[in-house]
Amino acid sequence: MIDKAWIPEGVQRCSIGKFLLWLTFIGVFIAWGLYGAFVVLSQGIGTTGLDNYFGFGLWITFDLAVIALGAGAFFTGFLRYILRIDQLKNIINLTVLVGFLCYSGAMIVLVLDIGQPLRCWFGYWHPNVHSMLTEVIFCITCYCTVLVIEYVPLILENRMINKNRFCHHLAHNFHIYMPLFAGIGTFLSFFHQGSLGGMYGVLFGRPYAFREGFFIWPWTFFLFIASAIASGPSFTLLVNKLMEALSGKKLVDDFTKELMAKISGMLLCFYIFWKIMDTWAWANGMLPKEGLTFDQMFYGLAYGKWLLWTELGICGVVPAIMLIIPAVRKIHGLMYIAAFLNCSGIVINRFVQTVQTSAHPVLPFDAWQTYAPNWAEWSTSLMIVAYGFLVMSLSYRYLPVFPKEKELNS
Amino acid sequence: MEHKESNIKWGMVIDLDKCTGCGACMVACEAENNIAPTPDSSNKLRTLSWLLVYEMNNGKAYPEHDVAYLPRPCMQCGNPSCLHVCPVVAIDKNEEGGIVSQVYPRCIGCRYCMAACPYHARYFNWFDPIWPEGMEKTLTPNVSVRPRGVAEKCTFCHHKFAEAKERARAEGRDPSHLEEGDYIPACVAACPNGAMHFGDLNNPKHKVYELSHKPEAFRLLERLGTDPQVYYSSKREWVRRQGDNYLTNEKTKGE
Amino acid sequence: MGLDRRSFIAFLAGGTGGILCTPVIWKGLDDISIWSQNWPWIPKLKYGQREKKPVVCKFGSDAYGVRVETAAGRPFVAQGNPDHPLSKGGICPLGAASVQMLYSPSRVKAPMKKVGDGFENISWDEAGKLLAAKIKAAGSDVCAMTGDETGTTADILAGFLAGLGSEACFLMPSESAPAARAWELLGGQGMPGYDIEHADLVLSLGADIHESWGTVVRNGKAMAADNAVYTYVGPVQKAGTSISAKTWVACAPGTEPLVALGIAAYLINAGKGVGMPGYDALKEFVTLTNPPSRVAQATGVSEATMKQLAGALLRARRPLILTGSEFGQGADALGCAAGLVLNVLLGRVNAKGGVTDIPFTAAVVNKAPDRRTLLARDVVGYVQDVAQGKTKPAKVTLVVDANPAYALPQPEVTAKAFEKSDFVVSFSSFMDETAARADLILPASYFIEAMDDAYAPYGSGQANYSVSPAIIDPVFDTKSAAEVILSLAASTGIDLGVASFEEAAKARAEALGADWDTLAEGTAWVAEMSNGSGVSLWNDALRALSLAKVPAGAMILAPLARLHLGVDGTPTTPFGTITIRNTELKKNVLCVQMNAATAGKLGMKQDDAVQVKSPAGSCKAVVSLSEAIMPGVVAMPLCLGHTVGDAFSKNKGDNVYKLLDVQREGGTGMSVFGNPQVQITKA
Repeated sequence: MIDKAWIPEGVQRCSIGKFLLWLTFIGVFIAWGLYGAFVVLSQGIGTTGLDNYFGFGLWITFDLAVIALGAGAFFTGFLRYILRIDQLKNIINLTVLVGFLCYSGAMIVLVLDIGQPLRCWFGYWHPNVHSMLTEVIFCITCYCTVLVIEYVPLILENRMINKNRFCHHLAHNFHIYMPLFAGIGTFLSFFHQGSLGGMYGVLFGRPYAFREGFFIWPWTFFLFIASAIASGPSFTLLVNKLMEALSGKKLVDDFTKELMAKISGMLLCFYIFWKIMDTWAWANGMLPKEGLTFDQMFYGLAYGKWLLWTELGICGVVPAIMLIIPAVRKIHGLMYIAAFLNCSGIVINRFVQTVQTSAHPVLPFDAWQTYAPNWAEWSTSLMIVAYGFLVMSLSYRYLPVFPKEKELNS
Repeated sequence: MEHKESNIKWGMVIDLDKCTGCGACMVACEAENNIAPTPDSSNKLRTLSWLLVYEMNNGKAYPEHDVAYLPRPCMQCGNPSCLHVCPVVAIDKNEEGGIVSQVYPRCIGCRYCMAACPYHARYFNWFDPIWPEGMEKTLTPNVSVRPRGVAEKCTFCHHKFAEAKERARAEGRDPSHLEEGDYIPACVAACPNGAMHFGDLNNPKHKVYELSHKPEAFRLLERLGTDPQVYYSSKREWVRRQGDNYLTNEKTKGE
Repeated sequence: MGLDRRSFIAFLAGGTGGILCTPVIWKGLDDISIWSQNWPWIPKLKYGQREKKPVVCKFGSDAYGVRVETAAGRPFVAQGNPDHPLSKGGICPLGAASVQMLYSPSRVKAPMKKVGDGFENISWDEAGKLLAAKIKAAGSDVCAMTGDETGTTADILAGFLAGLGSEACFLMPSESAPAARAWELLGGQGMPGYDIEHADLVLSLGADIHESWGTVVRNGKAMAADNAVYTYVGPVQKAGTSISAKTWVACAPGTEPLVALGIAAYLINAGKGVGMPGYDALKEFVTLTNPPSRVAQATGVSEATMKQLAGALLRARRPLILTGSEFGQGADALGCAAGLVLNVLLGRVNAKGGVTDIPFTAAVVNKAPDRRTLLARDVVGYVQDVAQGKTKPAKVTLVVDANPAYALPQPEVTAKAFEKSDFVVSFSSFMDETAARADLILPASYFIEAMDDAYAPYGSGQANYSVSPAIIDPVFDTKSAAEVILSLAASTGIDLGVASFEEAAKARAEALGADWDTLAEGTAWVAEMSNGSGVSLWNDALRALSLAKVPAGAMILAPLARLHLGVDGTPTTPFGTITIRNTELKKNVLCVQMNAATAGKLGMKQDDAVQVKSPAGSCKAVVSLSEAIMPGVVAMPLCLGHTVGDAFSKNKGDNVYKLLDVQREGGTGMSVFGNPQVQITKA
């Protein structure tokens, strides 16, 4: 293999030909997405399925979902570097990678999603201290920078690059300061995961999303943080499983996997309890004060009650219980199913908080509207997924992502 | 959220018992505010209609049926849901009268304000405006032409407010004490049926003061806490009831 | 090379600081924000001295004063004119969109001659010569149609035709022709006028006073003053008609004037009308020949309701009854007369808040027939007769400011009639169905580009006259239709007595005793209320009123006229498209409105695609449920379905004029149309 020198020591990788074929397959999606992006940027966001009722659609749902799922990065970092749970060092690189891909992917989507991308820096230059979105802009850009900083040492540890002395020492120094960055990352993440929830919770004009709260933070602020850290580890597990399936190798040891599942489960229990409480309080307290009933908050199939029951039940309570039972965790099939349900629940939550909030007419003489994303939104979103696959594939092939890989596959 | 108070509070009172749904107000608004004409308006969710006339009915079958039309400009809320959410301070609530303005050169087009507004009063430029050849010669001065990617909405013809103050200054009058009729938005001026009234809600000499204090006056979605500066008026209970969400056992405002 | 902590931090800090110290970032960001405000393809604003210039807006049959605001002479918007008596500051959706239409993509920019299937631009010189030659060869076989009911251009046109020896100069259908005939039958001298501002009860029999009947904007302002209670009798519920609870009386389409007969019976029983001329004949007609029970059967309005209405009229101090078509044209003269009779019965003629008699103006153009004569000519009848071979087709057809190929009932019949004419000329500002069929298109200057005038639009309370000056030079190679006809007359050797439109308008002003300079500035002249001679309660022609029972199970069409959709001569404006409702046009398919009970009977539901068929033709539509439509009636909006025009007017629905079959009114022979029976089947 031409690139043998670049591959980490002691591990097997497939032939370069097979790899290039795989990259080409990914490339198709990236190309289609780039075309979509070109159309959107050159002609306007009118080329998507968004409209005046649905200013937020697939892209925002996608962004919120990947940011939530990418929370595995900061939280695992927090547990590893701040709480010093050393076991997690076996999976920390993967979580950083997933986090980096989720955040950089979200940033790329946001370039398409704002009407005047050239003005994106206005959030810094003309910030609105009252706006949750300003907070989000600050934090996700800063946190993306943190993730880059956390990802850079991994790149520097590539076998060939690491031979360069400067790079070697640079990587070493990064590792020394890693707890500092992990701490900054935790702080930033808590805030923007929360602010993303806060964005919807402060909308007192939108009864579906609005919540009372604590000080300036609506309950959704805290619920979003909790759901993010509950699903992040599960998502990391699923990504890992996918990589193991595609590569045919064992990458992370069982104990670490089950630990991630346990963390996920405990946090999910915490989250789902408060989420159910919040839903009950919203339905019985807040809505009637605004002259609305619980039933009036739902419509048709796309915005039906089934989504709520699914989010809370099959994708909430059920995986929470499954993941905290050690015996269930041991059966990896069930563990992954629970992880999948967990992540699905969070995706549903992000969808309903953005799209269903906008679909409810609020004005009594107005009607529910429905929204469906079009090809431009799908292609660009899939492009980001493909981008994730691309970077993940390159990282897996050339970087020492999994410390235990050599040991587990000897 | 703090309320921004001012001495003058520009507001409207719209009589829903007079509105015939003719649409002159919508057209006048579009022409005055340099909104590019829409060839195909079949998708109402993609049309720029700063002022939109809704069709309402009492939900009853013939012959108990009754119909009303409701023109909906921007409510210029006293507690605007849009103002606080804009990440780049592209929205301003003016101290001299409470008009909520959109700052087009500042707006980044994130559409958060559109998600926030329960009145669907905010619109987005999904594409660059297309003006039929020559029609750009009919652009109103003092009203910015917006490019794609920015949000926009009814401004109570804010440019006419500025022009009225200038005229007052030129005539040696006090610009902060305009006469009723010095400044009228295009829609109110156009209405052929006397359904729309505009003025200073704080000034007992203005018609809107009297009208907004009548028992049949109401505002849309008051319960949400937006404190709109647009009042509606109807002697018909079913019309007032559709001004807000009510539980079945609750009484309608004005009863 | 080792990298200790100090160096690492220095490396990071130095790197960041260094980048920030270069001007690249700051200048770059500044430039970017300026670019994003100034993209070259976004039109720039132009400023200049502001003026408000009064003109008269005449899109429908209404004519009222507006102001066009200009900056450095460039017009940019039309607004109300608070000083004009016919609008008092209000403006209709067409007026509000009018300035922008100056640059409509449908504007005809130069004279065009038909060549093969298309058109070729020609010069005015060539066009003038061509037209003169055709006129010369035609002799007296020339016909003309115009939509300009209120202006002197119609006199010039009619005078020209008269000079050629032709009586075939017609006005497009409107409310005026039946009203003129009705008033004449009752002994009126001029046109009936309506002092709506001072009435305290306004009963509308069919007349849609806010969309298509009379002086629409003025009617709105009258309602705004809150001096009267309004009741509407018709098949479709109207909004904004009043503050009291029940103001809609559902009545079978086209039969509203008959309700007047039922009410008359109750008024007579209450002692009204004794001693008035025609009392005995009327009494017999409404109490014996066609008693309220018969009226109830014909209209669907119960006797109790008619009694109630009569009671309200008796209690009111200044009641006023307005009778007309549901959609501004096609109504019968006898029905209009029945409605006018109620006003006579209540003693409301020449009374404040009642009916007045507005004199026709003196002739100012040689040979031009007076308005009464012009209104009596039946354009629909003529076109039908030509198409059916009953009348000789004209060699030359002149169409001025009208779109008969679209807006006359049964457009295919009009098309046939036009085909039979050797040479069709369209004087039009915009490309429309008639222009598309023409052999020669002469671009007419738009209303702000040429002088125009308007005398007492139908619905006015007293005689009035407004002059609309040209406020800009024509932006394209267009001419005023009046000037073209005058020069054509001159070259044909016909002396019309005036050399220019302005001369004719001045003569009109002088004849009225109005000051020209004041008029030319935009101030309308208004007469004192006229004291007409007595009118009668009766004319024998009224015996021909038919009270046929509404056929059981029939589905009758009620066309809807809505200004925001356009009028006969003007399709939906570029700025009006946003006002089109989903209940009028859904996904660019015409809506047929009906209530749920009617839909149930037809086995239809909301959004079903259907075919609506009448004896005259068929339209494609989609079902739209509305409880504002009475049972057994379907309502469809007019002015959609244009096939010629631009992106704003074309491909929107279907043309309901296709469905309107034409009958001749018994007793007057005038063409009536509007409420055919229809069949609705799933598409």
